[in-house]
Amino acid sequence: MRNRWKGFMAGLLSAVLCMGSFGQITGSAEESDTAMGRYVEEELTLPEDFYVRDIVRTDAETLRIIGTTENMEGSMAMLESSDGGASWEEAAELGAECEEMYFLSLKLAPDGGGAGTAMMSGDESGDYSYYYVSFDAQGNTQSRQLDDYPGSNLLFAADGTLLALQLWSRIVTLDRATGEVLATVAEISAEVIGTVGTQVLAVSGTQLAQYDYTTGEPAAIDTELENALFADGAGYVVTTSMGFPIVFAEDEDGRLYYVTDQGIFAHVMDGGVVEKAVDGSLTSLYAPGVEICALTVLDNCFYVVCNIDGYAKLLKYVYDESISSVPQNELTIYSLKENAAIRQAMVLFQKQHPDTYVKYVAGMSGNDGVTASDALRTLNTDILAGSGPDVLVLDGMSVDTYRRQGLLTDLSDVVKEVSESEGLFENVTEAYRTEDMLAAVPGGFSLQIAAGDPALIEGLDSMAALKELAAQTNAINATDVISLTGLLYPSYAGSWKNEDDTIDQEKLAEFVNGVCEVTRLYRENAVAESQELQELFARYDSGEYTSYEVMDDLYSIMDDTMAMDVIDLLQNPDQVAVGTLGSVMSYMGLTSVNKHTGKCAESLLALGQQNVFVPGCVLGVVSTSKSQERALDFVRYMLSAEGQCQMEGSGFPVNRAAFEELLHPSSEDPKAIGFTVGSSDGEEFTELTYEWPTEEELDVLRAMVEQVSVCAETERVPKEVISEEISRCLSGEISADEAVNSIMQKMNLYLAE
Amino acid sequence: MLRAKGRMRGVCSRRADGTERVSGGYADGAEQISGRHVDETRRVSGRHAGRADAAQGRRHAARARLRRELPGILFLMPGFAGVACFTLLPFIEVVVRSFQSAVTTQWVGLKNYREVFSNTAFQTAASNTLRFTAVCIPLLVALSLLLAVVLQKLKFGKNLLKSMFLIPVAVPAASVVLVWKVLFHSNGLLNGLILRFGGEKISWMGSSASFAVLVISYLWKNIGYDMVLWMAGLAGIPVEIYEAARVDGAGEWKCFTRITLPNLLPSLYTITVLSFLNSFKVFREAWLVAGDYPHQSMYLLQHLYNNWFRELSFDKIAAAAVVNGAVVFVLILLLQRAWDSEV
Repeated sequence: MRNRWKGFMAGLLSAVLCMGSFGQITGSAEESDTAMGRYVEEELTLPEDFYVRDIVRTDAETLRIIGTTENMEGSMAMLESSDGGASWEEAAELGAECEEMYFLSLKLAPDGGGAGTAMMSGDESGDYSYYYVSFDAQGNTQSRQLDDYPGSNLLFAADGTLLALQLWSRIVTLDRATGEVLATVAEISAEVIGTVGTQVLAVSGTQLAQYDYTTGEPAAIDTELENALFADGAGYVVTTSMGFPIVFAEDEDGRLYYVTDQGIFAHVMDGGVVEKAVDGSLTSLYAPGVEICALTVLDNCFYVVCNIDGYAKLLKYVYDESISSVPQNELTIYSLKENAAIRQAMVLFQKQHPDTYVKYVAGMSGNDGVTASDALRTLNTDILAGSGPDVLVLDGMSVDTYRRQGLLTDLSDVVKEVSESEGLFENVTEAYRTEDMLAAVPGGFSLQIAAGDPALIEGLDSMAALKELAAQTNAINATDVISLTGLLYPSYAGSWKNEDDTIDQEKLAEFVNGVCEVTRLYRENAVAESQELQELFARYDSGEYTSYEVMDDLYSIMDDTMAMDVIDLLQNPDQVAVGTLGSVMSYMGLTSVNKHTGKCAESLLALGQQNVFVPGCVLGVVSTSKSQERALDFVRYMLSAEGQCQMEGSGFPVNRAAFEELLHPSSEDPKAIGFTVGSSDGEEFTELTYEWPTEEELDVLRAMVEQVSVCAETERVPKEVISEEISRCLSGEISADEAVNSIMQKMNLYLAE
Repeated sequence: MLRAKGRMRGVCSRRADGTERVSGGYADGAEQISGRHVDETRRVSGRHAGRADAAQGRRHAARARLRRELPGILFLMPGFAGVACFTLLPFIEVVVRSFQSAVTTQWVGLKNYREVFSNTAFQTAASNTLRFTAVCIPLLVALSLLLAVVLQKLKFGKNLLKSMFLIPVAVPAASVVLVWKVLFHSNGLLNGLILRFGGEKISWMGSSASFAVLVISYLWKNIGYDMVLWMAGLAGIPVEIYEAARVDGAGEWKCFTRITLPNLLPSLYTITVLSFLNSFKVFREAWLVAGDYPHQSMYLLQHLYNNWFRELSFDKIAAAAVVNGAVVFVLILLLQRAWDSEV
């Protein structure tokens, strides 16, 4: 009887579990069918060239913003809107003295006035003077010169109390009229502060602290809020003066809101869970490099002031009941490393396709020890399980492998369509064409070039010529010598691969011996004769400095190494630098050096192979994708002029219109883009003013872009194997011949697999 | 008393004269449930009646057998369900996939097998794995037995030594890797010693010496575990046999070859199979030290599978896994056959 009872209970439990699981599946489906409504983003139009800095709700209907007219060149003004930001009228203008000031911090008070700290270039000595500025709702301004750099982030509480976070280490209350410290609330290391009620919230990189600013007493930590703030390893570090990674706000009812790149969140203090009101990944907040300045809430709408790519924007989030709570379609994009161009594009693409949720997955976050091989195995598991991505960014992956496995869709139609409508550099976009299909298409590309002394560049046509330069004193850029394997690999890698998938040992040996010999000669000549270079190389040898190749894992430096060489070429006009050129900015640097020294030319690198380009942001669509049409739309968007213009860090655009737009930006006068950079080598300060290239100089760039025709080998495994063995050879662990044999043996295994 | 000890049995046996005897009940015969002599029935009821009775007897016997084995089957079911879910069914999927393309799952016949057998990387990896197994298993079995016998003879410090030999089993692979690097780096301890004695550096991980490193590592890691298994076997041999043999004038060697070894044969099968299966685990250390592409001499099948997985070659992995599984299965069957015939 007892056994039967046990059996019955076991059976019942099993049945409940099974039904429970079915119920959950059914429930989810129903939920996704019926749940409607979510916040959608719209960018509010402001008067032309108005650079908004802050926003505040002054009463139940009115919003007030403050900013600079004439795009930071004109006066400070406050605008008001009573129709939820649809139209703006000037409310007041600040005193004329503010026109010369650069505001480090500028905040509006709930009464419409405000305060700020500012700096102003001073007398002929070039020193800056600092000011505390306060103003009322009518713009009546008073300023007081400060003795020292204020280092304060100001903040008005809902009751008008002015607080400041001074030098990221002290929270104080200030006298609004004079800016003098009234009381110290807390001595605490924090990045950002916010207020709710009479509490000030201090957020450091990894923790939350709360104080009552009226008494200075610590308050109990709201654990729900703290957990939500730091969920999934989130941290908040202020890196610029233009914005913050997190900003707090409070509504009329005392509810706390905060905005991060993950979205806008709502929380009743000590009252329960933190709700995600706006999903950041569906908005511009998710774009790379967003700096948030301010948040306010009015009539159930959120208003966010932020800087995106240097442009100040006022974004409004309105609840729309007519659309589904989550987009009905999902598009997953995968890349091995974080790719800023993809992140930017997905935000813009999502705006064009509000019914699509674009999810971006980067296999290697850089801080969890996941290697490329681990990430690829995880990706393959997902693909096998039918939950793989729809679009693959194939940088660091083997296009050929995925094509042979039938994983990639033919992109011929998409590329042809964009090419016919807008024009593409087909010498680049056709790089992955095989007899039957176009498996992938580069979204950008870099050039393999040599830059520097024209006399040296002219003869640089072989590894032997490079060795000759290495034997001379300081004729090659020292940093390039350190990273020589990575810099020369793209132009050489294709040369040793035979058509039958075997390795030409002779060519491989030429490369390995060449790199080892150039490094040895450079150390024996240039380094031996220069104390400065000896110190530099000692720092690399000890691991204090890291090569481009190592840094590339985090910053993708190898896509545009010339950016790093510009100042070196300015300081050493008789040198030559080799590497990749992947941006107009770097080219501008090289031409500017030429204007300065008269000795800086550029030409395509002709070592190993000629006319080599390095593909970037290589896009492929997964053939088993359930959202294949949308995935193709994304590739189409990425290749379009609009998509290409926003690409950063993936080289030159493959779209001809976007390329020309880069060379002749329509929004700004190229001649006005010049800026100055400086560098000190310990004794001498070198300054270079970047000037826009002349049309003749741009023609040189155009010619090089048209000339490239050979796609560099970018497969990760051979590159890693070769780099590792050359590194062992350079450290003296093995000889060059042993390195070649070891590479051959490993490469043969790789190719045989 | 006999009845209390009796076990339920259902026995269907054939006599020498061709008649059948079906019986079910307690072994001691204290209670006969359905036992009867079929030939006796035949005499009474003729041929048809005899067949009917025989069939009925078989049914009874089957029922009795089922009743006897049911508890065992029920106890096995949860474990078998797990094995079926996580091993057998996936393996069937692997077998099916070995005849399909990787991503599109199109039927490709024996193409994957042809590719695997003609693949030089597979040939290298398979030959290395076989060579590793052929070298390591006999070495491990012999050395661990030797250690077990020596430890068994020790009067003092036996437990301490046993624990020391077992320590490598408990050391995590990641820590073993650190030891490897310290020992076998070109500027590591071993090369330091070699240089001190006037020798030349050896590229332990970059030459064929890496195979020896792999073998030594495997022996170091597993010898304690096998030794404990042998010692369990040794403890099961009655001391009286040795005493009797010594009284008859047998020496240590004779006792070892005539008493110890024959009595350890039942342990040999288990130890060999476990050592064989453990030999696959050496890949962890090899991979952590030398990555996806170690020196050719220590490139094992697991390296190949790992790399094929990275390259999305599920089709080739499936075919190679079927081949690998079949080889392992045949080897274990052969071992079992050898063991059965010895025992």
